[in-house]
Amino acid sequence: MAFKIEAFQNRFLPPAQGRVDAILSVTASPDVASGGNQVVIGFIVDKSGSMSGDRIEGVKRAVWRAISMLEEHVWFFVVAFDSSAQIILREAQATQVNKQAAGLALQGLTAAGGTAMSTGLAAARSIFARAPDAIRQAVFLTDGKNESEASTNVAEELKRCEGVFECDCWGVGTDWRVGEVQEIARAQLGKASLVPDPAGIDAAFRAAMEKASSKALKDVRLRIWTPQGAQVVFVKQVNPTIEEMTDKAKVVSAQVREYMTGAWSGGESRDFHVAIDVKVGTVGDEMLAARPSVAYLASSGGGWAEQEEKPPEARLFASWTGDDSLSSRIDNHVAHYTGQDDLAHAIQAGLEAREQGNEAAATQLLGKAVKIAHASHNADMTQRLSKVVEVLDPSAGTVRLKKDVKKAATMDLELESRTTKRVARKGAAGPPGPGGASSGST
Amino acid sequence: MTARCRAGHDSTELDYCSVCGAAMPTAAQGAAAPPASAAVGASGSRAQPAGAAATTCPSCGEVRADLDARYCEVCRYDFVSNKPGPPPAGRVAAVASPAPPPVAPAPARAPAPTPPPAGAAPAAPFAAPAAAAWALVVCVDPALDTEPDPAAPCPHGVPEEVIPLDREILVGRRDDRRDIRPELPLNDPGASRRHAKFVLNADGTPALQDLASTNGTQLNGVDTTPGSRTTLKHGDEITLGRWTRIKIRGRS
Repeated sequence: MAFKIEAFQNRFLPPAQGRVDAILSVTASPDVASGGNQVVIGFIVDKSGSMSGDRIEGVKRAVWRAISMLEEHVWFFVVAFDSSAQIILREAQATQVNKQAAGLALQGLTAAGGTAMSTGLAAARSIFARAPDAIRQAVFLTDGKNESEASTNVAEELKRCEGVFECDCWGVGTDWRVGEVQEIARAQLGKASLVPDPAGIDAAFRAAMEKASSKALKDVRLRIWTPQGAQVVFVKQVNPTIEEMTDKAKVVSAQVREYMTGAWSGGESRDFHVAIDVKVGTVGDEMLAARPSVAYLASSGGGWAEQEEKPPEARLFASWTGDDSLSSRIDNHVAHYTGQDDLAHAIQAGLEAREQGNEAAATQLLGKAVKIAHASHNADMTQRLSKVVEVLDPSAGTVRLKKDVKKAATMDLELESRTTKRVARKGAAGPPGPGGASSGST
Repeated sequence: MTARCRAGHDSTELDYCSVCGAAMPTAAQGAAAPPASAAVGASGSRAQPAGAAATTCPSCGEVRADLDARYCEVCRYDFVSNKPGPPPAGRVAAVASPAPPPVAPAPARAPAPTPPPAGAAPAAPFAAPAAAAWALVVCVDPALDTEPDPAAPCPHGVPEEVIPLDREILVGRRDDRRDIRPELPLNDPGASRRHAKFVLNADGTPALQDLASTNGTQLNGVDTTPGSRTTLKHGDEITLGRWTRIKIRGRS
């Protein structure tokens, strides 16, 4: 079995209620090896005028070092864009000779011109499209606003890129728009992050290479069967980041929907929140509310084979009871991630209020965020928040807005607001992914 | 394998009905069902790069349909004297030919000059190009399109492309039906299927081989003689078709 799925829910519903809420924790087996897969990594970098100087030099160095650490079976290419795109390095295998050639080609990269991000995406797409069987991962880096084209160009290009490659994005400095870069990352199943100064590009790219070249399973899809008369209310990834997936559902059959999550590494683990409305039963009835499974492509003799795993532990139930003490309990995983969702919203709304000069609302919302972060042991978020507000009482959520806040701190907080913490497991030492924890807890 | 649930649905699952979700009569509540992992084998097959046949023209790579014919059908290369053939009597207007079928944007490429060591390495996702001392910088230049045709407008926003010039590169319009797959496929209706060819001299410097294309080729603004071969230097510019500009870049 390549995947383990655990379900966390309270199956008991009060009479006349049909909403089933559950967290599905999906973990790829650490035994899934990445060796033998075709991996293509594309670099899409900004070479507009604002990048000149330290930034373009930092990019050249970072791309070069990232390429030099690639294993020989990986393929790579480099695309640079200003108001149009240039293919700096066509796809090449990461052999010693080609790595040296990459160094030469990168030397000629200079920064000038405007910024039209869609051109870089389009150029990368045209290359990735020629390797349909490979695991296709890109890194995207910019430092400015997308000023040289209509914003709809990017949205249209992202539609064409969907399913062609995955892309993590970085913004260097603070002169770029979080929304623009996040739009690209989220459409391409990636994450947007801030690199405060050019020196940080190197570490960012190296981490990206490790992540990209470890991908072993392709086109991993969370698939959900629901009974006749039931409706999927929403499906979202809730860990490591919150990603709305409901609208991206693909209909497999009348009762089965699937949700693309992209490529996974061995040992990788993600949590999903699923809400389903089932046809209301009578007290004493029990029914299957959903049968989740994972469909994916596994490497097989140089190609890919479609697989589906449907472990019984993943099943979700609805069981009607007249006993309030059973039905009123909220499963702790569901409660935790509902809280993390509230946390993300409080941060985003709080930062927006702060931007608009509405200090009272900003103080209240960011205070609420501090309180949730504290209660859910989300120390990373508490720390990020403390760069924007002075925390007076974390458990009560009493805060005061800081006066001189670095722009990088608010951008970083906004970017990371959707990064969640897993449920703290009492006494469970070790990595995330519940070792012997009982599944299907009620 | 199907079973019938209490509501009368045919269920493909034995624990809970695959239609309505009700527990199947034989299944104890919440009982562990047999692991229901289904594996559907459907591995994609990969296209194998065709080996270079010995029956191709040494000049333009055209497949020799008739091995007894003395001249190459495309570039008129003389197989007996091993010399480029005489130039054609005149440039002939393109005869209306059936439209080529829609092609996948997947130019076939020559084998990599630096093949990876054979072993457990996975099949290459692309056929491989590699580093070269010389390169072609190919771009679509709308300024060249002096007589725009509304039916086939010049594309805009096409990225400039750098192609290592480390082997022979045929330039032209790809035509799958005729199995003409240039290493540098052009989206340019004014280009011939086998328009021109970049070749390497013995000393490694590149040269432009004119293949007597319908609409001709210009080197630095001057028409090249059909069938001629001209050594190229850094900075040379070749224009052809309606909007294709190719710059020659040497190792700096």
